[in-house]
Amino acid sequence: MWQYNKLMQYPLNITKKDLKMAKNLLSQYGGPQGELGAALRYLNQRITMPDDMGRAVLNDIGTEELAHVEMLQTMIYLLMKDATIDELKKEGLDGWFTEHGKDIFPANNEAISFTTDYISSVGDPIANIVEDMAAEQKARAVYEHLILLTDNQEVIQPLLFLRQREVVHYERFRELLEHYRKMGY
Amino acid sequence: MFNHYNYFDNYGSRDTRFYVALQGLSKGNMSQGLYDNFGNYVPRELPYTDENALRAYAFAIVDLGLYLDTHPNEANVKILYDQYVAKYNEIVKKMENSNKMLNITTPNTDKVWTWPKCFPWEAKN
Repeated sequence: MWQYNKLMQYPLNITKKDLKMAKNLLSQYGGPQGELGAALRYLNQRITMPDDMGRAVLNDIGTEELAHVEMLQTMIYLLMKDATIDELKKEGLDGWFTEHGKDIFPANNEAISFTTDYISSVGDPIANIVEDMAAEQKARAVYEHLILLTDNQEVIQPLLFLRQREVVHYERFRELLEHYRKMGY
Repeated sequence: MFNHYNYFDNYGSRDTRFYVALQGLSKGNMSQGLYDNFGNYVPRELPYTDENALRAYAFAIVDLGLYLDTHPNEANVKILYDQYVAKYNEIVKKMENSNKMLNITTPNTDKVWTWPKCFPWEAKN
């Protein structure tokens, strides 16, 4: 079961609105390479991993992804909450405002809703782990694009943290793959 | 000279392959070998605060835990992990019976229920 600790994994200090980045950060919330997909993918795959190492790795990384979901939710919310209607219109967020007001919602930066089409579990541990490795690399690449898109240090710093987590997660999945290959899967 | 006594007793706490907790949290990774710089971007050194200390120990536990998941036989890393668990629980104990509720099991002697003050996603001001 899960227990909520009232503590952001990495400290966020968003002091000013930034609608451009709020919009783009949606992609790492509800987009194809985003944290919500990652959490669901790993917490789903953990159930049928063939041994203790696999179950532990998928459970632990999946749990950490939920903490990252919280970071993305917070950044999007704080970057958008003080926007005026005119500012929302100027950034092309009037469509979002129509359907969601200033609520957050799992979708990408083009307002395409999150879907479990973004994740897989195909009944084969090697295939599942290789998907996980690809997911981490893709998330790393998207974080790099987001970092390049802004000069806002309040946003860049948490993104550097999240990018580094993808690098580490990739390595752990790669080690798990090596382990399963040695076991002959 | 390689001193075997120090190797087994202190290697965990002097394991140079890992950053210390607050450094690790700042960089997003405890393993020095895995740290991957992106362009000219420099992760800032997080200031030492009570909150960041708790975050740092929690992060060290999570990241060393992931390392141990795939390196279960590295006893020296397990020692380091145990040290961080102790440090984390020390801080958690200090938070008991204060108004700083960490989670639903944090002991609280108030006679009245109060909702958590300031969830992490709320604006700081």
